[in-house]
Amino acid sequence: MSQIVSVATAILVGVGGVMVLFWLLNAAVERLPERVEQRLKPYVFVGPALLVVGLFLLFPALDTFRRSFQGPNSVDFVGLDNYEFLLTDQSVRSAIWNNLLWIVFVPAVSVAIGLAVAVLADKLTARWENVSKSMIFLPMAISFVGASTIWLFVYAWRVPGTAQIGVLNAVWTAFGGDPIPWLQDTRFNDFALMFIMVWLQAGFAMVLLSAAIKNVPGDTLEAARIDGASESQVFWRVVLPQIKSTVVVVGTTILILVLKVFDIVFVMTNGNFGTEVIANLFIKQLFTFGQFGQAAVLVVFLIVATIPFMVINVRRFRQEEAVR
Amino acid sequence: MTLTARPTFRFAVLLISIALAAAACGGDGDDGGDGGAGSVSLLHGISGEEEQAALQQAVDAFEEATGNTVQVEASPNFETVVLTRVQGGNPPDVGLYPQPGLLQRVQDDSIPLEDAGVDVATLESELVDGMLTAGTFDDAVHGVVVKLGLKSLLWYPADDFEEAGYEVPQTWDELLTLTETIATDTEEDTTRAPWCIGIESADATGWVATDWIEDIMLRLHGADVYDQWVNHEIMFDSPEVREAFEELETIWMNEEFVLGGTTGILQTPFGDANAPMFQDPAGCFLHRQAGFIAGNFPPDAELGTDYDVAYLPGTGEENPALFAGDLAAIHTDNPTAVEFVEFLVSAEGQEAWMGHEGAGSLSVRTDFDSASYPDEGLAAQGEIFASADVARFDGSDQMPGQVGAGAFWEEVVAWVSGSQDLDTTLQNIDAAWPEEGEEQEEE
Repeated sequence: MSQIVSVATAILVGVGGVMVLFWLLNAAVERLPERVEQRLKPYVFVGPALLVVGLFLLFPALDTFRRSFQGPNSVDFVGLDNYEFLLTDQSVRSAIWNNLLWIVFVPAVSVAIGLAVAVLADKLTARWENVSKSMIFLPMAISFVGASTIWLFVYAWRVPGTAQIGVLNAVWTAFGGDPIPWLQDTRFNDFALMFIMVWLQAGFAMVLLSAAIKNVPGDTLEAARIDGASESQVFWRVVLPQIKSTVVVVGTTILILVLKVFDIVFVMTNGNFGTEVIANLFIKQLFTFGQFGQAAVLVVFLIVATIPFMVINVRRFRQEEAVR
Repeated sequence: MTLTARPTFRFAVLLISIALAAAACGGDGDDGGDGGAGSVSLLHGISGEEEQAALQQAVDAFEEATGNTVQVEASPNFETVVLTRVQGGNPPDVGLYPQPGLLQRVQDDSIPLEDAGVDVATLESELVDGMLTAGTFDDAVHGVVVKLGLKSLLWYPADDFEEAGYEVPQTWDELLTLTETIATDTEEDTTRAPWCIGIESADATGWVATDWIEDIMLRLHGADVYDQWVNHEIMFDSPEVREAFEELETIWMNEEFVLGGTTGILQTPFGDANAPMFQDPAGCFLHRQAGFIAGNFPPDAELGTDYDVAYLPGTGEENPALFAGDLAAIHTDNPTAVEFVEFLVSAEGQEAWMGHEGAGSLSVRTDFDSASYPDEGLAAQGEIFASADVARFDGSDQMPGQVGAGAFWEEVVAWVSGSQDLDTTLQNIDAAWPEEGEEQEEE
């Protein structure tokens, strides 16, 4: 009960405080001469937001960059030592390789599944379209950690001959196979982890792509069909080119998410059995090993790797907006 | 809302915020001890209501006996909190450290017990050998173990053991022979094997393996070599450590010896590994795990019939014991802190603490009467511990984090999974050991 009260007052004070702040600032600006007031007013309202973004986003980013040149305690300057670690360390190398695998596999498969569902559901009756889309979209509501915990039970392995509590192995042994340690076998454990992300993100891809497909002008489809195009030709030659920019935006958005993947690996394997990724390695360096410098250099690497995709994403998005 | 109502509303919000701010500043007064009797603050990371109640019983006994007061502060985030407070110049008078490695990180901010005024010589004579070793850095005793959990324990299903005619092994060789005997007896059945081993532990997967290696190191080479190894005076890639890994290999990597083979070891959560022992007939006959594991046994399992506990046998004339526990360290120049730490390890203090049913830990004193333990299981463990010749703290807890909570775990897991050989494993762990000066030091 006391918690509810304190949460309520916190919200009240927080929202109220912001209102008071803007009200005071506004009142102050209004006292100025009209010309100055016109000029300053936008900044009065945008300013606090910019300040907050700068304080909580830009400053930590720059500070991380500084720390990437310092030792484990961020006290003494160590030059490029941490960057040498980034380039030579065995675990970093395998993490980068795994991240690349994730980058290629997850966005591609998510978009493919999302696209397939969007196109096929479009041909169903309105009711079944809604049902099928909801099914695909449902996992979006689950947190990464929650989803990983669910999938732990899907992939679980128990001693052969005893009851298999994992769904996959229960089915597999029912058909006479030996239980397979899905998360341990290096041939497919990476993909077992990636599939969780696909399961979570296919719904997101589907919703955006479905909207884009419904926006494709009907007369272009009609014209193609009158000219005798088959359904697959209509899709590949008429629909797809018109939703290309959405495909790219969805793909890069998922890709940026994939670059930061941490929760799934942390919960499922913690990087064991060759499944390490950069973000999980960063957590280990920072919290388990107390190596601030090496943790910072991994973050710098992630930021640098993300920038190109963000540029593509923003550009595409603008193009798309311009067309509309 | 009308326009005229607004200012009133805003004014109310303003009033509330001011009132809240005032309330926030209000409490939290300084209650430093300047009364007649002494006062001491204690920071610990012991979680669980029952364990805290046990500690409180010792604290109460201290307050009653001396008239001093103790401010107890429990922090579920002990590591972060103690590092922040020590670095911020606001350390507790006494800290209870769950790992020697953590204490070593703040060693410059802790007063060696001798300098603080603790009678270290008396402690040395009254406590079990090894209680001061773990907290000794640069030849100065910074911490003394105040309570411990024994790790060198062998659990077995007593009734099935008797039925099959097995005897509790008294030496390491007998343990290996028994393993082979059981393996032959259970050969036909894939759901039965001599050993139950599980090392899955989410983001700490592998720690059980390090305990095994430590126990084997103590048995094969004794406490002195063990200390050298823990301090990296001998490498992982040395004949001694290699021998310990190979000893582990003979049990772990033999698919006939362990339930589920190496996959069973890697995929079974450490807390569930004992479950087959309680099946009928027993799925496994041997399980090596610390004393806490009894809490994971089926609630209706009874000591003496369904299961029993024995000492994990040694190889030679010396019987070593591996343990983990909490170390008390003194951070401030406060005579009451000295009095308090001395009381915690005194006969009276230990009796109050370990005698409480919630403690679930063993005493650090040689003269502790095992009848004082609250249950038979702990009494049995207490007797095992008392008969050990030498005791050593969990080695991985004393190594730098990159090794003790990193490479040691991960590389062993990779080795057991078969993705790399022993040479690579040992070399990789050595490579992860921070070079001199690279090790984390607190400013």
